[in-house]
Amino acid sequence: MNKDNSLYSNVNLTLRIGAYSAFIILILGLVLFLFTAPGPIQDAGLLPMSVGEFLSSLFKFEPLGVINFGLLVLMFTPLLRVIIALFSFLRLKDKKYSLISLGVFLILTFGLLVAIF
Amino acid sequence: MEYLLMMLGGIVVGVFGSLLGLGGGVLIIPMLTLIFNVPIHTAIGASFLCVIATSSGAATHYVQQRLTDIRLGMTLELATTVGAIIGGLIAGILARNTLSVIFSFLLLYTGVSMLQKKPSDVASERKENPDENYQVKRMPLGMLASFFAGNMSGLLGIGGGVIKVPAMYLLMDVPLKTATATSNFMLGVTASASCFIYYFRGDVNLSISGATVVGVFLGAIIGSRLLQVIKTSILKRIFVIVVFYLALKMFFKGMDLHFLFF
Repeated sequence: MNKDNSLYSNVNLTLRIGAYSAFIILILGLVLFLFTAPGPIQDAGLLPMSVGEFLSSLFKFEPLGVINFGLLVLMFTPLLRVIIALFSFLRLKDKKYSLISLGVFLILTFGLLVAIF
Repeated sequence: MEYLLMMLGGIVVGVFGSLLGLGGGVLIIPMLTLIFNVPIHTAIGASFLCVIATSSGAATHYVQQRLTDIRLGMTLELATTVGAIIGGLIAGILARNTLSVIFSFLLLYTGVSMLQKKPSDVASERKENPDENYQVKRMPLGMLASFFAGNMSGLLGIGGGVIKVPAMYLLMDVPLKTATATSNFMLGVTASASCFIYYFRGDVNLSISGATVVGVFLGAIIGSRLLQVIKTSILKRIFVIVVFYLALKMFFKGMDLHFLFF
């Protein structure tokens, strides 16, 4: 059990950092949003946003760009958690679960590629 | 203004969810579609993000306490993610009304399962000790159930704990606390698999999702504090009535029978 300490603490830390940083970014974005952009619900903030649009709105500190960034951080936290678990299993020389983690990673990446194209 | 109300709604859902051990998707989607008239696909997109947020919040707590079985979770995730991707793709071709009707059946199932004997009662009958070593049984069946849970998750935007916890507990002989913690752990990865599809299809509305996620996150933090002082048995009864009412409303919305219940 004790050999798993690093696995558990790495995974814990990844989830925590991901969730809380997304939360803080989202609050920031929402505060900006509430003070700048009114408008009908259905039209505000519809995706897709192109990468260029996203980056320029983020660097201009536009509310929707900031919110989008927060949501992306949140959305990619689980994927990062899988990668961290994979490396933790590799360091434990746990072949079976390294392969399983790799499998989950590949499925998620496949899903992401299907989604994009 | 609507966004502030959505955030408030999110807080209520987050409090309820963490007090009753629910992911929140079951309540977020009816709230957004019935109160705020958000299209169901957009509501599901927002729900995925709420599920990831609560899972990452609650999961860290369980992971820290070592209640989560990371190995079991990763193994079952092989099945839930495949199910979630397929479910997310299918949801894209289904009409709003069809999804509403399917969702109403899910609400009905959730209500009925809450009325039944509490798993924690069964657990104390089994006299289980979460620290004890256990042998995971019937892995293939568990994988099948996980695939199904992932599929429902991708289709309807829920976490799927309603399916996974009983499957792990009853089929695979995993202790209840471990089953709950592990299910929670898997929610994030499962929801993100379908969330990618919703996001890139344009079914994630930034402002709606942002407002509800922040609300649910705050609600979950408040709820976990309240858990020590509130009796959940009364809350549960109120919740069951609310869920049945929502099931009827979603059903009639799906059937385009708007004149009822207003």
